[in-house]
Amino acid sequence: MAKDIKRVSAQQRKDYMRVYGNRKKSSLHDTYAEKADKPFLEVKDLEVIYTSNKQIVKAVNGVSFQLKRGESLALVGETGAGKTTICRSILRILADPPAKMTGGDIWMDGVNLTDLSEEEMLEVRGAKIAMIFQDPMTALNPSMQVGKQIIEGLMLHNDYTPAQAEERAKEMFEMVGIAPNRMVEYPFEFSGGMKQRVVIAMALACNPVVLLADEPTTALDVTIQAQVMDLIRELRNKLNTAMVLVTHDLGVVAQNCDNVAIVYSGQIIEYGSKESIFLHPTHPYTIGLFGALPNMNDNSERLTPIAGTMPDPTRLPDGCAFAPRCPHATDACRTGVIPEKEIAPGHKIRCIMRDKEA
Amino acid sequence: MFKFVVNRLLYTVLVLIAVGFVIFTLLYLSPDNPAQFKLGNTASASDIEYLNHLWGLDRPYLVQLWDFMYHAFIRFDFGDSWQYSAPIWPELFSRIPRTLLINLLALLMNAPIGIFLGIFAGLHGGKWQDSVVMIICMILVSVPGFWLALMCISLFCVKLGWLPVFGIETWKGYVLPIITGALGGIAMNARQVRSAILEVFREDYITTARAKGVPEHTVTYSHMLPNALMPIITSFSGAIAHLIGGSAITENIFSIPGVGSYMLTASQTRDYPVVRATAVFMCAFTTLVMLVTDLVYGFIDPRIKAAYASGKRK
Amino acid sequence: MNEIKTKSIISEPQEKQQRTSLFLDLCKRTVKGPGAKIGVAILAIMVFCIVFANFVAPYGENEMDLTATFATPNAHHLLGCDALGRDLLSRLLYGGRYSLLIGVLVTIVDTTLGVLLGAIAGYFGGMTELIIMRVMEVWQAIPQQLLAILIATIFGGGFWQTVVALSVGGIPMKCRQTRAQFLKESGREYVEAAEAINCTKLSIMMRHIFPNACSPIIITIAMGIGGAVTGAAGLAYIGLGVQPPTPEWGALLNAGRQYIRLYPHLLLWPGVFIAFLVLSFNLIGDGLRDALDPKLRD
Repeated sequence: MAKDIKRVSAQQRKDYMRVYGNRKKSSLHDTYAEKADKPFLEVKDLEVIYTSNKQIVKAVNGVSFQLKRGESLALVGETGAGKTTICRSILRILADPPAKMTGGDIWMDGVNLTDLSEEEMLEVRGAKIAMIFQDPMTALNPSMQVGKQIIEGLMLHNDYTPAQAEERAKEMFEMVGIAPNRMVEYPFEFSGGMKQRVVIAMALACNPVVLLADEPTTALDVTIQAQVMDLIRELRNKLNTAMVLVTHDLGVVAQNCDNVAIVYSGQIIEYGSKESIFLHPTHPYTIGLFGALPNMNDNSERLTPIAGTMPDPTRLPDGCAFAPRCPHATDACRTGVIPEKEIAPGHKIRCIMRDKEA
Repeated sequence: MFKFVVNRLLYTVLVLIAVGFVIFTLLYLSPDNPAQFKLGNTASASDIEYLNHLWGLDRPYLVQLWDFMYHAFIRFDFGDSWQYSAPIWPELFSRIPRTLLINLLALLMNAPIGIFLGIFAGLHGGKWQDSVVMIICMILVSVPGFWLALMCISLFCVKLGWLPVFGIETWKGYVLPIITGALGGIAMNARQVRSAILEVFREDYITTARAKGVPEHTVTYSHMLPNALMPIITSFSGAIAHLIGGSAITENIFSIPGVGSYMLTASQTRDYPVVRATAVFMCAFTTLVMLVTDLVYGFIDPRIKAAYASGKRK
Repeated sequence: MNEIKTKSIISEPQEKQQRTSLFLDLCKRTVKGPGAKIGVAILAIMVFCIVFANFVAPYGENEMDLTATFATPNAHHLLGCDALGRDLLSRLLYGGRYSLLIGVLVTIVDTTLGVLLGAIAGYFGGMTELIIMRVMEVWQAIPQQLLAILIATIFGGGFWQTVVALSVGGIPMKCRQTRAQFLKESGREYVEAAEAINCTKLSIMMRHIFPNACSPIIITIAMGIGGAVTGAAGLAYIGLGVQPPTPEWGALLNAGRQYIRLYPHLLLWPGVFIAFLVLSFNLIGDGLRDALDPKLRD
């Protein structure tokens, strides 16, 4: 088996050289440092559709965002808004069928990921961009020792000998706070929080430059949630990793993110720095989200939920997708395409009503 | 781990003893009179009484039971055939290799072919290759095995004359029994493997592996197949039970002097010692194969392996 | 993950609009695929012809035509005639009554007993479970067909003997399956809730757990009928099941076996009928599995 993996990785290294030219691996980080102020990951007009029962569902509908080295972006929205789909399309691991990326570009460090061949993409997955999954209970292969699952990725992306890979895996285990002697155990011998630590160790083992964290804490207890987020933050600081964090939890956003994108029906309807979004939420949906958050300083008895549910993605309304639930909606909202407007530096919304007020 | 294997072995022996008890009791309950069967309707009452005494049938149930259990399980002696008044062992012994050969070869055939077809269909899930394999398997699962054997005889032996109609004088006599025996199992295995693979396909850890940058063929061979195939091992015990249970019919159709046909003839003449001996042998064989599959499963599934290990620790 | 959630949002309003009964919904979902549709069609045609054999069959069950002995299939006798000049098609249709009835009866008996034992073992646990499961393990060590042959040997051939012989062997599997389901379900919160409001054990088992535990059992029932028909035919073929001249399909095979060299059509058609009946049940069983298995449900 080990032979097998080595042969494959040699092939992949060749592919890697083709993509990244003659730059040596060790100099990569310097290159990143030079470009620190430029957008490192850039998603442009991403479109993804799902085909189910012969119906076409637009899961992601023209999403664009940028990420600098070490920066973090939160994708906030309801279940089914398309956040996970965005992450998966960056890695190009959408389940195809039924999902399919129909438009848009994903640029990473000057390379358009959508142009790469499947083999070239293998060298990006896990090495440059890593992903943490929502449910640690099912994210690990139940018939493989957890250590081996980490080593597998390490061997694919590095020139390690098996012993070195094991050493590195041990390091990662220590880093996420698990005794390295548990590497030979199987996933069912771990608790949920421990499994998520393993998943995090696996994602960060190859020092990725971008981390996609898909609701990393949703399946965990509240106390464990805080530990896991602290862990991710600590490791990111050490490795200077950029992060896309998918979450429902605005509290987590406040602690961990620089920028926030509010996602609704497959579109980013409001985008800005954490401060501007938290202090000046502008889109009616964002305001609704904050209204649905308990406030300790306020004595009001009830939270104000957003009325209604998300529109049926097979029959998205014309115009603004939020219009049917929006208290400010007018006829103008129900026709045409709602353009994106910058209402303050770096703060963009898709809403014609608030746009006018501002 | 060693302790577990020993435990499991002891347990199997106990099950076999219980099986012996069940078989003996079932036959004891029979309303037929074996002596009458041997002597015919014209036999005198004293002759029948003499035979019953000779065979020990006039003794109480518990004494007969003990006699059978003691001889069968401690001295491995099944006594004499009532019909031929000759010891059973030599006859049984000469027949065992034929039955074993047919059933084990059928089992060995259906495992790799069935698994291969299942993997093939599963990995092509939803495409035409999948549909073709699955339609063939569906038909093979539905067609009665013994009827298929009859049709094969009619076609290959009678019409085309490629193979002998019955008997096992040459290796050709074994071809049809093994193939028709394996076909049903192949189809069953293929269907099971396919649905297991389709299930594993959707698992999150497959996405995790892809997100790590694992190439697609490694995802298939080191993440998908081990998880999909593990439960298949247990289906072998079902397959062997099916084969052994069906061997009476198979051997009858192909006129093979094996254990199954021995049992069938004996049951028609109410030769109970032979029925008991053959039935116990077939159950023992089935149970042993089940034991082996259980142990193999235990060794390769980490969850069960860990349960063994922790049991040992305690 | 996303895809599943999106879909649940789609289906919610539809469920509110048309509240169909669970049973109708199950039927609808079962026949969604082409396989199950074919299965239902085959089964419907066969059951209709078998039940109304008096009207459908061209000749009587035992009507002999000595001028047509061993007739091969022709315009008068679509599937030919047997040694006594009896029309094979008619005998197959009448005989289907025995085969189908055996299949259904065997399944009813072994499912009832197996589910009952399994439910008791799974719900009560402890000593009860231990005893039942040990007995089942011994029981299962005797291959089903072997057990059927043994029982048929002891009690002789015949319709009811065949039913008993085949159902006895099916009990352990159903019992183990039910127990596994009950074990899984009895740990769920709704069972605790039912216990908390003082439901009787019987009512918890039958009204709360059973409906949630029965999906795999329903699938086994569908597949089991076909298996029992095959099993009965096998027993009859070796002379231990239903005896000729009863036109049960296996008995027809038994009657035709001596003519395999000269008149293979006597062996061909009974097998084809069995295969189609079993195929229809298997196809329906597959459809049920797709409809009931939440793992495969989109």
